[in-house]
Amino acid sequence: MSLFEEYLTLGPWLAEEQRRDLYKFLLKTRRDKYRLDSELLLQNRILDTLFANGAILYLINDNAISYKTKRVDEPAYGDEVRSLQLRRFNFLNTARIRKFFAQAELDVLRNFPNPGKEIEENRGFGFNVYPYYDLNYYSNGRGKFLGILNKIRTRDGELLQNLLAS
Amino acid sequence: MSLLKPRPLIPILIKPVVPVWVLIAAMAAQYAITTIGRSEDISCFLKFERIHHSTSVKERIGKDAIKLNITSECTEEQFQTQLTSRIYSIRNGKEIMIYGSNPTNQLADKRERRKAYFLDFWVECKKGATEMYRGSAEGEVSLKDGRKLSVSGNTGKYLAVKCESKAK
Repeated sequence: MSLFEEYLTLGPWLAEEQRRDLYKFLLKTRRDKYRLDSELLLQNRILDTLFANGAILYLINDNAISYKTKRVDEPAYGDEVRSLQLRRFNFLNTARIRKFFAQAELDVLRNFPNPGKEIEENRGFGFNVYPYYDLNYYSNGRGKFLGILNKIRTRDGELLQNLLAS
Repeated sequence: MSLLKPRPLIPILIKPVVPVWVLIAAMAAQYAITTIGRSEDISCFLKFERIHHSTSVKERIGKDAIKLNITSECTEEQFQTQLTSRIYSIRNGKEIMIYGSNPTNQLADKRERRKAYFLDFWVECKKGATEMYRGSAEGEVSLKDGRKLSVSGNTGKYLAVKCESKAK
Protein backbone atom coordinates (compact mmCIF):
# COMPACT_ATOMS: atom_id res chain seq x y z
CA MET A 1 0.00 0.00 0.00
CA SER A 2 1.46 3.39 -0.99
CA LEU A 3 1.61 6.30 1.44
CA PHE A 4 -1.24 8.02 -0.40
CA GLU A 5 -3.41 4.88 -0.28
CA GLU A 6 -2.70 4.62 3.43
CA TYR A 7 -3.96 8.15 3.95
CA LEU A 8 -7.12 7.33 2.00
CA THR A 9 -8.09 5.11 4.94
CA LEU A 10 -7.65 7.76 7.62
CA GLY A 11 -10.53 10.15 6.85
CA PRO A 12 -11.82 11.55 10.15
CA TRP A 13 -8.51 10.94 11.91
CA LEU A 14 -6.59 13.37 9.72
CA ALA A 15 -5.39 16.56 11.38
CA GLU A 16 -6.24 19.87 9.74
CA GLU A 17 -2.67 20.36 8.45
CA GLN A 18 -2.71 16.89 6.94
CA ARG A 19 -6.00 17.57 5.19
CA ARG A 20 -4.59 20.78 3.73
CA ASP A 21 -1.48 18.93 2.55
CA LEU A 22 -3.63 16.25 0.93
CA TYR A 23 -5.67 18.93 -0.84
CA LYS A 24 -2.47 20.41 -2.28
CA PHE A 25 -1.27 16.95 -3.24
CA LEU A 26 -4.51 16.22 -5.09
CA LEU A 27 -4.25 19.55 -6.94
CA LYS A 28 -0.70 18.83 -8.03
CA THR A 29 -1.06 15.20 -9.01
CA ARG A 30 -4.58 14.99 -10.47
CA ARG A 31 -4.32 18.04 -12.69
CA ASP A 32 -4.92 16.12 -15.95
CA LYS A 33 -7.87 14.19 -14.55
CA TYR A 34 -9.45 17.38 -13.23
CA ARG A 35 -8.98 19.09 -16.61
CA LEU A 36 -10.77 16.25 -18.43
CA ASP A 37 -13.49 16.07 -15.79
CA SER A 38 -13.95 19.82 -16.02
CA GLU A 39 -14.48 19.63 -19.78
CA LEU A 40 -16.99 16.81 -19.36
CA LEU A 41 -18.87 18.68 -16.65
CA LEU A 42 -19.07 21.94 -18.59
CA GLN A 43 -20.26 20.02 -21.65
CA ASN A 44 -22.84 17.74 -20.00
CA ARG A 45 -23.66 19.83 -16.91
CA ILE A 46 -23.53 16.65 -14.83
CA LEU A 47 -20.66 14.40 -13.79
CA ASP A 48 -20.31 11.55 -11.36
CA THR A 49 -16.99 10.36 -10.02
CA LEU A 50 -15.65 8.12 -7.28
CA PHE A 51 -13.07 8.92 -4.65
CA ALA A 52 -11.94 6.90 -1.63
CA ASN A 53 -15.14 5.19 -0.42
CA GLY A 54 -17.47 7.91 -1.72
CA ALA A 55 -19.33 8.84 -4.88
CA ILE A 56 -19.60 12.47 -5.96
CA LEU A 57 -22.27 13.97 -8.19
CA TYR A 58 -21.42 17.37 -9.69
CA LEU A 59 -24.17 19.46 -11.24
CA ILE A 60 -24.27 22.81 -13.02
CA ASN A 61 -27.39 24.83 -12.37
CA ASP A 62 -27.92 28.59 -12.71
CA ASN A 63 -24.27 29.07 -13.66
CA ALA A 64 -23.00 27.46 -10.47
CA ILE A 65 -21.38 24.10 -9.81
CA SER A 66 -22.49 22.17 -6.79
CA TYR A 67 -21.85 18.71 -5.52
CA LYS A 68 -23.65 16.03 -3.56
CA THR A 69 -22.10 12.90 -2.22
CA LYS A 70 -22.78 9.50 -0.68
CA ARG A 71 -20.87 6.48 0.46
CA VAL A 72 -20.49 4.15 -2.52
CA ASP A 73 -22.84 1.54 -1.09
CA GLU A 74 -25.60 3.98 -0.19
CA PRO A 75 -28.64 4.18 -2.48
CA ALA A 76 -29.15 7.95 -2.72
CA TYR A 77 -27.12 11.13 -2.67
CA GLY A 78 -27.43 13.43 0.31
CA ASP A 79 -27.96 17.18 0.42
CA GLU A 80 -25.87 19.62 -1.59
CA VAL A 81 -22.57 20.24 0.22
CA ARG A 82 -20.79 23.08 -1.60
CA SER A 83 -21.29 25.28 -4.61
CA LEU A 84 -19.12 27.53 -6.74
CA GLN A 85 -20.38 30.41 -8.86
CA LEU A 86 -18.96 30.22 -12.38
CA ARG A 87 -17.50 33.15 -14.27
CA ARG A 88 -18.79 34.19 -17.65
CA PHE A 89 -15.88 32.84 -19.69
CA ASN A 90 -14.81 29.23 -19.35
CA PHE A 91 -11.09 29.99 -19.47
CA LEU A 92 -11.55 31.88 -16.19
CA ASN A 93 -13.17 28.82 -14.65
CA THR A 94 -10.63 26.12 -15.40
CA ALA A 95 -8.40 26.63 -12.35
CA ARG A 96 -11.37 27.32 -10.08
CA ILE A 97 -13.11 24.11 -11.08
CA ARG A 98 -9.91 22.11 -10.49
CA LYS A 99 -9.74 23.50 -6.95
CA PHE A 100 -13.42 22.74 -6.44
CA PHE A 101 -12.84 19.11 -7.49
CA ALA A 102 -9.87 18.75 -5.12
CA GLN A 103 -11.87 20.26 -2.27
CA ALA A 104 -14.83 17.97 -2.95
CA GLU A 105 -12.58 14.90 -2.95
CA LEU A 106 -10.94 16.01 0.28
CA ASP A 107 -14.39 16.50 1.88
CA VAL A 108 -15.35 13.01 0.73
CA LEU A 109 -12.15 11.49 2.04
CA ARG A 110 -12.79 13.07 5.44
CA ASN A 111 -16.17 11.38 5.69
CA PHE A 112 -15.98 8.28 3.52
CA PRO A 113 -12.44 6.90 3.79
CA ASN A 114 -11.44 3.57 2.31
CA PRO A 115 -12.12 0.77 4.77
CA GLY A 116 -9.20 0.37 7.17
CA LYS A 117 -8.91 -1.57 10.39
CA GLU A 118 -12.33 -0.58 11.65
CA ILE A 119 -14.64 2.30 10.90
CA GLU A 120 -16.08 4.42 13.67
CA GLU A 121 -19.61 4.99 12.45
CA ASN A 122 -20.17 8.62 11.63
CA ARG A 123 -23.59 9.11 10.13
CA GLY A 124 -23.41 12.79 9.33
CA PHE A 125 -21.12 14.65 6.99
CA GLY A 126 -18.57 17.11 8.31
CA PHE A 127 -16.57 19.66 6.35
CA ASN A 128 -14.80 22.97 6.74
CA VAL A 129 -17.07 25.95 6.22
CA TYR A 130 -14.38 27.74 4.21
CA PRO A 131 -12.79 25.69 1.42
CA TYR A 132 -9.01 25.74 0.98
CA TYR A 133 -9.30 27.79 -2.21
CA ASP A 134 -11.08 30.60 -0.34
CA LEU A 135 -8.77 33.09 1.41
CA ASN A 136 -11.34 33.21 4.21
CA TYR A 137 -10.10 29.75 5.16
CA TYR A 138 -6.81 31.29 6.30
CA SER A 139 -8.53 34.00 8.34
CA ASN A 140 -11.40 31.88 9.73
CA GLY A 141 -13.87 34.11 7.94
CA ARG A 142 -12.36 37.41 9.03
CA GLY A 143 -11.75 38.65 5.50
CA LYS A 144 -9.61 38.00 2.47
CA PHE A 145 -6.94 40.56 3.27
CA LEU A 146 -6.10 38.86 6.57
CA GLY A 147 -6.42 35.58 4.66
CA ILE A 148 -3.64 36.57 2.24
CA LEU A 149 -1.34 37.53 5.11
CA ASN A 150 -1.97 34.26 6.93
CA LYS A 151 -1.64 32.22 3.75
CA ILE A 152 1.82 33.65 3.10
CA ARG A 153 2.84 32.64 6.62
CA THR A 154 1.39 29.12 6.28
CA ARG A 155 3.99 26.59 5.21
CA ASP A 156 3.37 23.27 3.55
CA GLY A 157 3.44 20.38 5.99
CA GLU A 158 5.73 17.41 6.15
CA LEU A 159 3.03 15.18 4.73
CA LEU A 160 2.96 17.01 1.38
CA GLN A 161 6.70 16.55 0.99
CA ASN A 162 6.45 12.87 1.92
CA LEU A 163 3.59 12.27 -0.47
CA LEU A 164 5.35 14.00 -3.36
CA ALA A 165 8.52 12.06 -2.64
CA SER A 166 6.77 8.67 -2.46
CA MET B 1 -103.09 37.18 -9.53
CA SER B 2 -101.16 35.61 -6.70
CA LEU B 3 -98.51 37.64 -4.91
CA LEU B 4 -96.36 34.84 -3.62
CA LYS B 5 -93.20 36.02 -2.01
CA PRO B 6 -90.15 34.23 -3.57
CA ARG B 7 -88.35 31.92 -1.17
CA PRO B 8 -84.79 32.98 -0.51
CA LEU B 9 -82.24 30.56 -1.98
CA ILE B 10 -80.26 30.52 1.27
CA PRO B 11 -82.31 30.35 4.42
CA ILE B 12 -81.78 33.33 6.67
CA LEU B 13 -80.54 31.14 9.48
CA ILE B 14 -77.38 30.09 7.66
CA LYS B 15 -76.68 33.39 5.94
CA PRO B 16 -73.24 34.65 7.00
CA VAL B 17 -73.50 37.42 9.54
CA VAL B 18 -69.83 38.32 9.17
CA PRO B 19 -68.58 39.33 5.73
CA VAL B 20 -66.54 36.63 4.00
CA TRP B 21 -63.41 38.81 3.71
CA VAL B 22 -63.36 39.35 7.49
CA LEU B 23 -63.58 35.59 8.00
CA ILE B 24 -60.65 34.96 5.64
CA ALA B 25 -58.55 37.67 7.31
CA ALA B 26 -59.25 36.16 10.74
CA MET B 27 -58.21 32.70 9.53
CA ALA B 28 -54.99 34.07 8.03
CA ALA B 29 -54.18 35.89 11.27
CA GLN B 30 -54.82 32.72 13.27
CA TYR B 31 -52.50 30.74 10.94
CA ALA B 32 -49.75 33.35 11.26
CA ILE B 33 -49.99 33.41 15.07
CA THR B 34 -49.86 29.61 15.24
CA THR B 35 -46.84 29.43 12.89
CA ILE B 36 -44.86 32.09 14.75
CA GLY B 37 -45.72 30.50 18.06
CA ARG B 38 -44.48 27.15 16.80
CA SER B 39 -41.14 28.56 15.50
CA GLU B 40 -40.43 30.10 18.90
CA ASP B 41 -40.84 26.68 20.47
CA ILE B 42 -37.90 25.19 18.56
CA SER B 43 -34.73 25.16 20.58
CA CYS B 44 -31.25 23.81 19.95
CA PHE B 45 -28.42 23.17 22.37
CA LEU B 46 -24.94 21.65 22.53
CA LYS B 47 -24.12 18.52 24.52
CA PHE B 48 -20.47 18.14 25.53
CA GLU B 49 -18.89 14.80 26.34
CA ARG B 50 -16.10 14.73 28.91
CA ILE B 51 -12.78 15.69 27.39
CA HIS B 52 -10.79 12.49 27.15
CA HIS B 53 -7.69 10.82 25.76
CA SER B 54 -8.77 9.43 22.41
CA THR B 55 -8.43 5.72 21.90
CA SER B 56 -9.61 5.96 18.28
CA VAL B 57 -6.96 8.51 17.31
CA LYS B 58 -4.29 6.40 19.03
CA GLU B 59 -5.41 3.23 17.28
CA ARG B 60 -5.76 4.76 13.85
CA ILE B 61 -2.80 7.08 13.54
CA GLY B 62 -0.70 6.24 16.59
CA LYS B 63 -0.92 9.70 18.12
CA ASP B 64 -1.84 10.56 21.69
CA ALA B 65 -4.60 13.13 21.58
CA ILE B 66 -7.10 14.93 23.75
CA LYS B 67 -10.57 14.81 22.16
CA LEU B 68 -13.72 16.86 22.55
CA ASN B 69 -16.95 15.31 21.23
CA ILE B 70 -19.98 17.57 20.84
CA THR B 71 -23.55 16.88 19.78
CA SER B 72 -25.79 19.64 18.51
CA GLU B 73 -29.37 18.72 19.27
CA CYS B 74 -32.65 20.44 18.42
CA THR B 75 -36.22 19.78 19.43
CA GLU B 76 -37.07 19.46 15.71
CA GLU B 77 -35.20 18.41 12.59
CA GLN B 78 -32.19 20.46 11.60
CA PHE B 79 -30.31 20.77 8.29
CA GLN B 80 -26.81 21.31 9.69
CA THR B 81 -24.79 22.87 12.48
CA GLN B 82 -21.77 25.11 12.12
CA LEU B 83 -19.38 25.16 15.07
CA THR B 84 -16.02 26.58 16.03
CA SER B 85 -14.55 24.77 19.01
CA ARG B 86 -11.66 25.45 21.36
CA ILE B 87 -9.77 23.44 23.93
CA TYR B 88 -8.07 25.26 26.81
CA SER B 89 -5.45 24.10 29.26
CA ILE B 90 -3.81 25.62 32.32
CA ARG B 91 -0.07 26.01 32.04
CA ASN B 92 2.05 27.92 34.55
CA GLY B 93 -1.14 29.04 36.24
CA LYS B 94 -2.52 30.64 33.10
CA GLU B 95 -5.35 29.58 30.84
CA ILE B 96 -4.14 29.08 27.27
CA MET B 97 -5.96 27.93 24.17
CA ILE B 98 -4.21 24.83 22.84
CA TYR B 99 -6.66 24.07 20.03
CA GLY B 100 -8.96 26.14 17.86
CA SER B 101 -10.90 24.42 15.12
CA ASN B 102 -11.71 25.88 11.76
CA PRO B 103 -15.40 26.73 11.42
CA THR B 104 -16.88 23.31 10.69
CA ASN B 105 -20.20 22.28 9.23
CA GLN B 106 -21.82 19.02 10.17
CA LEU B 107 -24.90 17.87 8.28
CA ALA B 108 -27.66 16.40 10.40
CA ASP B 109 -27.37 12.75 11.30
CA LYS B 110 -29.08 10.62 8.67
CA ARG B 111 -31.07 8.57 11.19
CA GLU B 112 -31.74 11.23 13.80
CA ARG B 113 -32.24 14.46 11.89
CA ARG B 114 -32.52 16.45 15.12
CA LYS B 115 -28.82 15.84 15.86
CA ALA B 116 -25.43 16.60 14.34
CA TYR B 117 -22.34 14.88 15.76
CA PHE B 118 -18.94 16.57 15.90
CA LEU B 119 -16.37 13.84 16.47
CA ASP B 120 -13.15 15.21 15.06
CA PHE B 121 -12.07 18.00 17.38
CA TRP B 122 -8.78 16.81 18.85
CA VAL B 123 -5.28 17.99 19.63
CA GLU B 124 -2.08 16.08 20.29
CA CYS B 125 -0.90 15.75 23.87
CA LYS B 126 2.35 14.76 25.54
CA LYS B 127 2.24 11.05 26.36
CA GLY B 128 1.95 10.36 30.08
CA ALA B 129 1.39 13.99 31.10
CA THR B 130 -1.66 14.95 33.13
CA GLU B 131 -3.11 18.38 32.40
CA MET B 132 -6.27 20.31 33.16
CA TYR B 133 -8.57 20.82 30.18
CA ARG B 134 -11.85 22.44 29.33
CA GLY B 135 -13.61 22.94 26.00
CA SER B 136 -16.03 25.37 24.48
CA ALA B 137 -17.84 25.85 21.19
CA GLU B 138 -20.13 28.31 19.51
CA GLY B 139 -21.93 28.50 16.20
CA GLU B 140 -25.35 28.24 14.68
CA VAL B 141 -27.86 25.64 13.66
CA SER B 142 -29.56 25.88 10.27
CA LEU B 143 -33.08 24.54 10.31
CA LYS B 144 -34.69 22.92 7.29
CA ASP B 145 -36.70 26.04 6.48
CA GLY B 146 -33.55 28.16 6.35
CA ARG B 147 -33.83 29.84 9.74
CA LYS B 148 -30.75 29.94 11.93
CA LEU B 149 -30.43 29.61 15.70
CA SER B 150 -27.29 30.47 17.68
CA VAL B 151 -25.80 27.83 19.95
CA SER B 152 -22.90 27.89 22.36
CA GLY B 153 -21.66 26.07 25.42
CA ASN B 154 -18.72 24.60 27.27
CA THR B 155 -17.65 21.59 29.27
CA GLY B 156 -17.79 23.44 32.57
CA LYS B 157 -14.95 23.39 35.05
CA TYR B 158 -11.44 22.19 34.27
CA LEU B 159 -10.89 18.45 34.31
CA ALA B 160 -7.59 16.61 34.80
CA VAL B 161 -6.91 14.21 31.93
CA LYS B 162 -3.94 11.92 31.57
CA CYS B 163 -2.51 11.66 28.10
CA GLU B 164 -2.55 7.90 28.06
CA SER B 165 -4.86 5.11 26.95
CA LYS B 166 -6.71 3.39 29.75
CA ALA B 167 -5.42 -0.13 30.38
CA LYS B 168 -7.77 -2.77 29.00
